[in-house]
Parts: sequence; structure tokens; C-alpha cells
Amino acid sequence: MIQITELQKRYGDVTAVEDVSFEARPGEIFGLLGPNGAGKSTTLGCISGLLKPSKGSVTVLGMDAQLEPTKVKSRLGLVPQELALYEDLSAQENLEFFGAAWGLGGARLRDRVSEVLDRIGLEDRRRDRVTTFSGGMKRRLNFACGLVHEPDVLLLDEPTVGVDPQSRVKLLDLVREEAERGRTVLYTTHYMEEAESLCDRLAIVDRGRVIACGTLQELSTQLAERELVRLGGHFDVAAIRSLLPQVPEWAEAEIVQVTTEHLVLAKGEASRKLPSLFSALANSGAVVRETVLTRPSLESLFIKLTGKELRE
Amino acid sequence: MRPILQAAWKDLQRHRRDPLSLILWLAIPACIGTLISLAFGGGSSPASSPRPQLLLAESDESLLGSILAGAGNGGAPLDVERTSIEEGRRRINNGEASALLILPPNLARAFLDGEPANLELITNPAQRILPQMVEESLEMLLELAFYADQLFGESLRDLDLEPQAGQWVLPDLRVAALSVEVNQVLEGLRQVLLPPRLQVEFVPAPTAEEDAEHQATFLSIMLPGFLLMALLFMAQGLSEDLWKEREWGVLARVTSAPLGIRNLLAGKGLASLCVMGLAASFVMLLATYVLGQEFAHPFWATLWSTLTGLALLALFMPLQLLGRTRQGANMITSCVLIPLFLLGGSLFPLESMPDFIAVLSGWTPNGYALVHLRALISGTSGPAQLFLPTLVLIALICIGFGLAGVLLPRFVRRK
Ligand SMILES: Nc1ncnc2c1ncn2[C@@H]1O[C@H](COP(=O)(O)OP(=O)(O)OP(=O)(O)O)[C@@H](O)[C@H]1O
Ligand SMILES: [Mg+2]
Repeated sequence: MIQITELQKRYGDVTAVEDVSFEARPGEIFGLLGPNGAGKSTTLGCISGLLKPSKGSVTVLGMDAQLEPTKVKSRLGLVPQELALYEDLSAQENLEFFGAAWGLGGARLRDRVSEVLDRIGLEDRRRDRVTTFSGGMKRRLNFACGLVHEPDVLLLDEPTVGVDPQSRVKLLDLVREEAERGRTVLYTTHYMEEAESLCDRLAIVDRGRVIACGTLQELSTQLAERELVRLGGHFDVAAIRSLLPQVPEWAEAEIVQVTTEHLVLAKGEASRKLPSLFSALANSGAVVRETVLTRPSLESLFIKLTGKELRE
Repeated sequence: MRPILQAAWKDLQRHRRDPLSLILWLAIPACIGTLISLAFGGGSSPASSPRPQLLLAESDESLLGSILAGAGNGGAPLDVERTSIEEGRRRINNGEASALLILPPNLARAFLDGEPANLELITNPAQRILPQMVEESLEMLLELAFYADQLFGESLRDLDLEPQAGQWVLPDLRVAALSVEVNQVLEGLRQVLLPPRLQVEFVPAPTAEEDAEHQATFLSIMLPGFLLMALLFMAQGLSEDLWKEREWGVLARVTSAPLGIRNLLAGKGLASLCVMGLAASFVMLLATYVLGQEFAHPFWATLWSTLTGLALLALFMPLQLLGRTRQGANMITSCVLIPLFLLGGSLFPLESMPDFIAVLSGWTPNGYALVHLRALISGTSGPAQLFLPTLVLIALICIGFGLAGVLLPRFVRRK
């Protein structure tokens, strides 16, 4: 169980996390979805004890992360976004060290190391130094080091970046298993598909704020089955705002974004109603060079919420 | 305690995988120390000239003479100056040079005609190590210069040693032809070369006994300094490990572990203590069993050196953490390392330092440790007298590691 309340983290003038609140429950994979620089890693850093929050509170399994840091740390497992491995040690030695660093020892540690090595497909490379590993193999080991000690709460920061598709499936299966065993999993990603297929609940973050939160179902109802129409070209912002309510079939469309170069509208069954939109725009003197139609999805929700694409 | 042991074990595993750097830390200071201290006459006489001076006298100018004279300006470890025979004798008698080499007339001719040639080397009895160095360098130089010119002079002159523009290697054909020739000549001349016809007569040659005695005193004077120099280099090298761990991201990961980075730091200290203890034991054993040195308190000397190593590490640790970048940190530690290296008494013996520098030396941690180490080795003090100095070292270690512990969290978080 993780509870984040009004979390804020500032670096001098830069506010990495502005206002983040959410709750991740046991047995659940909770996704933090957001573009680069949204503040996902910073949020995770505040939970894991690497960073000190400027404001707000972090509670893990009912314990305040700032008041009882050591107790909280011993229950957490962390897979950092950047690799964090001893390059001059073997895979096994890395797992043994990090397992021991989280308090595992003796036969239990040995068993877990073998089990985890087997699960990430590095059993035959266990005695090889990490320097000799490929990028994807290092990623898999980086992943394994975070859960070798069977933590109750798992913090995974984009753990599948740079991993080949087969290994990725294996890693995601592992994550699901951890959740099925009743562990709380916090998973950050900027992959839509991954978030859609993996996460039970999601928070969409942008510029340090949670802009939407809920199950996939709840989030898609926010879109109300509407499609997004993104137009590129040249537009007169004021003219568009006054024109649109008078265009037949488009009167109730939501203007998500309008600039001199872009116009983004949200509308149910938009594809069938495009001709009337185009003729109205042409009459008003707007120039349309590009049209993109997006079906309802996390992606379109994100665009709707932030006015920009996730992978900008 | 268990977390510290775990962290230390991890570092020891890593050191075991990289023994080369440990050996280098020992070897490099040993080389530097040996070379420089040899040039300074083994520490007994005040430093006069770092390079031995060889006077070269010959009745007629030979090619060999020119090559030898040229060698002094090239990479050879001695200065060569040409004089007349009379002038040379006068100067060596006045003690103005390390040695005088007199070449007989018609040297090259004599050699080619198969007659043994005698070169006379007169060494300066006032200097101990420098003339010895001249003798050794000279033997090597003579053979190289003389044989090279006699055997391959023609071919070498033929060979256009300036590579063509944009070309870094000599044409293969030429090199091949040259090597064939070298082989043939060597084969043909093997009987001429062995035994060598060219002999240097050393005047006066030190007796074997004297020589051994010099070596012994030299070693016992310089060995403690070498050991502490090696530990100084080791300490700097080991302190840099924190940067490696930071760059690998493991420091951040350990920050999130119950183990914690302060235990990691303590473990690093413990592992370094083991490694330095190993190095000190190795040097002491080598000196005892291979070089035949006798130490008054070998065990305590080893222990004292090891503790000094840890104190030096404690000095470098916080300095490493102050740097914004690894290069910056290296600059900072080097700014401390170099003065300690120069002042600590390892390089220039305390006895040869001007008084105020000798006082300064006593205030450097390695200089302070060296005085006590020497006393332990010579037997002028025993473990009992080390009680207070040990407390001083332990205080240094606590302060250094304490500071590092304070600086470490920010070091980990800083981008
Ligand atoms: N140590 C720091 N000092 C200053 N600014 C920082 C620091 N760390 C992060 N930031 C800023 O905070 C913001 C959020 O960074 P964060 O790493 O949390 O983003 P993220 O969502 O994880 O992005 P990504 O998907 O690229 O990993 C960014 O604008 C970043 O520049
Ligand atoms: Mg990130």
C-alpha cells in the first residue's frame, strides 16, 4: 500500500513534482504514465528515500517514509530507470550483494538468487561479469536486483526500456505474478500499450501534476467514446472559437486546443462528420494541411488532457 | 556490524577481480622512488645533482665518442661532457663529476682488428650511488652504441628513417631486408661478441662487501618511505572508487536499501584496510625474506603502515566527494597528493631537506607516520611508544570518514 498526498519536490527554481496524490493498493499494479520530464522518477525517488520531498507526505504500508525510513526501505524493492549494477561483479555477485543489502542471507538468499536468475533467463551467465553483458541483459539483471529480496512494495521505473520483446513479455509476467501474490506494484512508463495491458489503475502525470487518475475503464469514460481530430495548418484562433458553435454537427464538439497552427477537437463519431467541418473551415479562410483522427485510447485521453502527444 | 561486513566483502570481491591495479599501486611508487632516490645518492649525502655526470676524454675523436656524448642529450640517465684527458683527471680529483671515461686512441680500429680495447672509467669516491649508476648505464650504452654502429651503421644510414608524408610505417620490404641482414650479421659475429672484446676497467671498483653494505643501508633508509608512498597512491586510488560506484548508479540504489550508504562507506574503509594490510605485509615479507632486511618490530611496523594507509584514505575520501565531476575530484586529491608525495619524506629523505621543510614534513600525515615507522623498524622505539601516535591516526580516520559520511548523501543525489 502506497499513499502519496500532495507531494511536491523542488530543485531550486525547478519544480519537478508540483502536486501529486494517489494511492496504490496491495495486489494492484498501479501505473504512472507521463511524458519525459513529467516527474515520474522524482515521485519514485521520494518514495524510495533517495529524495526528500519538499512538501506532502508519503506513506508506505502505513508507515511514514520520512519518519521511519529504514523500516520503509526494508519493505521496498526498487528497479531504477538507470542501470544500477556493479559492472565488475558477476550477475550472481550483484544479486547476492543487493539481496544482502536488503537483509536477505544464508540459504534463503542463495535460493532466491538462483530462482531469479532462472526467471530472467541469465542462469547460464550467472558467473560472468556484468561488463560482458548486452544492454538488454543488464536491464534484466537490473530488474532482478530489485525483487530478489521479495519486497512487499515494488517500485518499477520504466523497467522494460531497451529489452527485447520476448524478454519483455517475461518481465511483465513476473510483474503480474508479484501483484498476484498480493504485493503493491508501482509501475512508471511512457508506453501507452504497456500501461493499457498491464496496469489495473493509472495516474496520468504531466509537468509534475496528476491530470487524471482511475481504472482504464474510468479513464476512457472521461473521453466518452469521443474521437480526437487533430488538424494542422493555419487558423485564426478567435474566428474558430466563434465559428464552431454554428457549424452543423460540430456545435457540441470540445475544443481541446487551438493555436494559429493546430486545432484539436473531441467529438463522437467524428470521422463521419468531417466533410461539414472542412467546408466550414474553408469558408472561414482557414488552411488545413494535415488531418489526424485518433480513436478513444489513453493516448487520445492524454492529448485531450494536456493538448500534446505523449511521446513528444 | 553485519551490513559493514557485507559491504566490505563486496569490495574485496571486486579487488580480487582487479589485482592489476593493486600491483600497479605498489609498482609505480617503487619505480619512481627507486629512480629518484638513486639519483640523489641514496639519501646519505645532501642532494647535489639529480643526474650523474660523466666526463668523456679521448685522444682522437671517434664515432663511438660522438655517440656516447649524444646519448647524454638523448634519453640516457646521465649527463655526458667532453673534456681533455688532463682536464678530466683534474675535475674528477676535485670531485666535480661522478666519473671520467677515457677512450684509447684508434678504438674502433682496434676492435675491428680483433684486439681487446681497454676503456678506463675513473669514479668519484665521494659519491656512492651516482658512479654506480654511471657504470651500469655506461656498460649498456657502450655495447649498444658500439655494436649498433659497427654492425648496422651502413644499413641504418641507408634506411630513410623519415617515413613518407602521411605514412607512419617504414616500407615492409626495407624492414624485411634489414632484419635479414641483422640476422646474418649477428650469426657471423656471435663468436666475436661472446665474450665481448670491449671491456671497461673500473677504477676504483668498490669491493663486493662494500657494495652489499651500501645496498643494505640504502634499503633500510628508503624502504619505509617507499611503503608509505605506495600506500599514499593506493589511498588516492581507492578513494576514487566512490565515483565509479556513483557512475554505475549503485550508490543511489544502496541509498534506498536498509544497508544504507554510510555502512557502504564503512565497508569500503574495512575492505581498504584489508587491501592495504596485504600490501604492507607483502612489502615487509619481501624485504625480510628476499632482500634480507632485518626489522626490529616487523609486525608492529606492518600494522602501523596499514593504519597510516587508512588514515590517508580518510583524508582523500571527503576530498573526492567535494568534486563536482570525477576529473575535478581528481584534481583536488592530486593537489593534496603531490605535496604529501614531495614532502612526506619518501622521495627526499628528511635529512636532506632544509630545516623548515623538514618541519613541514612532520606535519603531513605520511611524514608523521614515516618518522614512527622508521623508529619501529630500527628499534629506536617499540609498540609502547606508539600509543599516542596511534590515537592521532585513529582520530584522523574518524574525522575523515565522518566528514565523508556527511558529504556522501548529497554526493549521491547531485546530478
Ligand atoms: N537533480 C535535479 N535537479 C534539477 N532538476 C531535476 C533534477 N532531477 C530531475 N529534475 C527535473 O525534474 C523534472 C522531472 O524529472 P523526472 O526525472 O522525474 O521525470 P520523468 O517523468 O521520470 O521523465 P522520464 O520519462 O524522462 O524518465 C524534469 O524537468 C527534470 O529536469
Ligand atoms: Mg524517469
